[in-house]
Amino acid sequence: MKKTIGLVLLTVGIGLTAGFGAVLSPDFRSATAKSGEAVFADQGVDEAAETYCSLREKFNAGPADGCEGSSPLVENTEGLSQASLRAAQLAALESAEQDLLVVQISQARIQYRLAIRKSMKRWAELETLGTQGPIPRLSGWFSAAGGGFLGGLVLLVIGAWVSRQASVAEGVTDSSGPEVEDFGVLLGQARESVAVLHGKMSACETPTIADLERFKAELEDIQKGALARLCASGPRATARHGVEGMARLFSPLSGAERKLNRAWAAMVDKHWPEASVSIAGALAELDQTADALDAL
Amino acid sequence: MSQESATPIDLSPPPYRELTAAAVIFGVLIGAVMTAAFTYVALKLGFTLSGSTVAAILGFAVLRGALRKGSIIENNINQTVASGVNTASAGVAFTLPALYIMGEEFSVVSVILAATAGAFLGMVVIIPLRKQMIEFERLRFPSGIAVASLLKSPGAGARQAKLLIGGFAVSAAIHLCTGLGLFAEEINFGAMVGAPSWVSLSIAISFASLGAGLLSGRGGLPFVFGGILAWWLIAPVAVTMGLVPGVTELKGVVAGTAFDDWVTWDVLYGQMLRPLGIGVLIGGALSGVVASFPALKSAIKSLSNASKTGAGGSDELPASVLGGGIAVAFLVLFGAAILADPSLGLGRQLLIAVVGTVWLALAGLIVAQATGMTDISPMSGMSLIGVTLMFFLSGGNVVPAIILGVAVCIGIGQCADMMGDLKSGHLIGAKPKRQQLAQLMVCWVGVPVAVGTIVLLWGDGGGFGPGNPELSAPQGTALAAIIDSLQAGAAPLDKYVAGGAIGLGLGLHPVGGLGVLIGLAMYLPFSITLTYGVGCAAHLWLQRRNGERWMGDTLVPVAAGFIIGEALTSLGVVLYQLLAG
Repeated sequence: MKKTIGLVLLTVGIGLTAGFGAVLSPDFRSATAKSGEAVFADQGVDEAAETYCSLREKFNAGPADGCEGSSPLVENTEGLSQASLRAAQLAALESAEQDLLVVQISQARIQYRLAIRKSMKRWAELETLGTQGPIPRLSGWFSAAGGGFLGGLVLLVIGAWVSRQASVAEGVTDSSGPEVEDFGVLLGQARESVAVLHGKMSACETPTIADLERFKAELEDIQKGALARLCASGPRATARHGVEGMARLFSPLSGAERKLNRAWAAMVDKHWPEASVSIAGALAELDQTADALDAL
Repeated sequence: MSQESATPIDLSPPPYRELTAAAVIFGVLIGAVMTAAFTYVALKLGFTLSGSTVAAILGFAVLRGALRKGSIIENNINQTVASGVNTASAGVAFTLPALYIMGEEFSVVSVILAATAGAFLGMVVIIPLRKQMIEFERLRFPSGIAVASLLKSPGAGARQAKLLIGGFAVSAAIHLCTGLGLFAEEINFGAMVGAPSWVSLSIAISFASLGAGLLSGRGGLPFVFGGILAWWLIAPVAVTMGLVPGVTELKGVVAGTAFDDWVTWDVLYGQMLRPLGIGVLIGGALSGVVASFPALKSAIKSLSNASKTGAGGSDELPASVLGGGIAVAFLVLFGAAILADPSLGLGRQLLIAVVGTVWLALAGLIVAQATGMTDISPMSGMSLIGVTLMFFLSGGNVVPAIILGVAVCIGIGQCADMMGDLKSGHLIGAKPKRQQLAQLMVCWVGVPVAVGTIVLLWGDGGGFGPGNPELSAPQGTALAAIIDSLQAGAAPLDKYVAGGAIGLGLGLHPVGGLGVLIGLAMYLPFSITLTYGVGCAAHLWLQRRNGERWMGDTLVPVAAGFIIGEALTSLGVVLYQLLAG
């Protein structure tokens, strides 16, 4: 029940904080709308330019106005704002009026000029607005959405805290049931299996490739059986013994797991001494895990 | 019993091969070639590739094949070294070109110094967190698992080898088709039913994302939840409630796909969700450090104990080495800050070096955690924050901001790469100390290679950038544009603060890394998250149906094959695109 309440509060809290957190400050929202107008006006310029140039090409009007490989309307654009660039392009088009016999080209050129004029106007409006600095943006956002955001944050924190309490309670009380296995029992099983394997390897005086294959198969059974379940029990160990307690258990346990992995690799590489040493090392680390569990 | 089975084993062979000269030299060679090639690829296409899988396969061919003496663990060292060297390609190619594009004058020596310091700092700050991330939190690192599956393939048995190859073949075939443009890169169900683009109903055709989800399972579900929250709740609500500009507010604009795309990508994603996601990532990582402090303390204590006991038998690099490394790398970074702009004054240069180091550590932790949980790296976002911080600390001075940004970017990359390699190493039983030592020895090698490649390609001027369609340097151009906007005074502080508060709050939840996962999902387009989510859901269904053991025996090699298949095919597609011009 507590867990469900925590989850619901957390979900609502995340939704509210993220929703209100995403709200734009009013001034920045206005600037964004203006920048949208400028972006779409630029798209209009590109489309008009494309139409104009393709018509020039179609009617063999020759290179001019940046079409068909002629020089661009404005060659040196360095240091120009977008509005100034559009103004310079417009001036260049107007100063180079051409006597175009083809009506379509003439009309397309007019459309091109109009599109540049529109873009120039939009960029000028945007540049007049200026950029909203970080602090005004923060205070603007907080005035617009701060209340809802803080409300959501309170729910989020309570939900997370309730979930944490429920998780601790679950870890302390719920140690039975079909899917929950006791850490100590699993550890005992893993330790026993590794000890048996270690014993068999120690007793094997003249090991063959077949022996190695057999031991490798036994090792894989341990790795995929008790050891895998043991290593997957971290969250439960944390709930029961706290983060520090889990660390005390998992430090040697993970060391044992790594040494068993090393023994497997050495077996594949047919390196008997390394495999034997690694199995012995893993056994020692499982013993240390058992000691740490006793101390907890 | 066959004759081979009855063959006795050599009981006194030479020592088990691990950190060998052959592994290091071969790793450096592969790494250097990959660094130069991938730096070029980054300038051309805007992304780089991870070298781990390529190095592991070449390692098999050379160390085990040609030299006939390599062990599985020796190949892990070779792959660790190669990918550690190659990390510099992304760090340099995403940042340094901005300085050239902006026409700034700077000292190449200061760039090399800063980048080298960043590479070492990334290594030494992340190594103490190995126990925490790999042994305690047991983060998945899907690519690390994939590389380990590849390394283990000689002994994994015929069935698992077939599954790995099968997964590889399917993933490679599909990715080849998308890479060559035969299939679309995503299926847009929204467009099919006429939904606007801000109702994201696209799914990426990426078997690597699917494989990462298959390996992550339940642990990846908060990531999917974050994506659903961002794209199926916040985005539609923001549009329908008028939180974003409507078409009627924009003069001369008509409703349609172009307007919907602008609202989706320029406003919802660019101005709202992405910066908010970055904030959540940062807050989530900070709270994660606080929540796991007892375990971190335990991990660092074990390093100190290793130092006190002489560390000879320890599996970790001693704390004294790491502490000394941090001190030296910090001093080099400070030197780079002085060289980058001598006029800044010692106080400000020191502040830049201190904040740069702290941010590198935090961002490295975030990127390593995100990669560990989902295989997706928010490196560009973290580097962007790094450059922004440096920009403000240097009083709006572009040159030191980007030069220190190069250091931060390389350091962050080293953190994620080292942790992924340590995960592979853990799964095959490598000694962490030897992997750490190998990468520490060579992590600087990629820096001069990557910087040299950039300098050579720039030539007399204009060798890359927006005016050059052959090498447009997309990431450097984007960074230059961001610096332009920073110079104009724009920074989404409101979103970073709001996101940071959400991330800090989520740190109270018992599920570790919740803030990082939700933040990462907000930071990404939903199509990637959805594919990953399908993998997570399939994992849970298969686990319930077939049991845990089946997952290890069957699902892991298939999913690893998916990841390796896409990684290697990406490389092939890039080569084809470069050769085809």
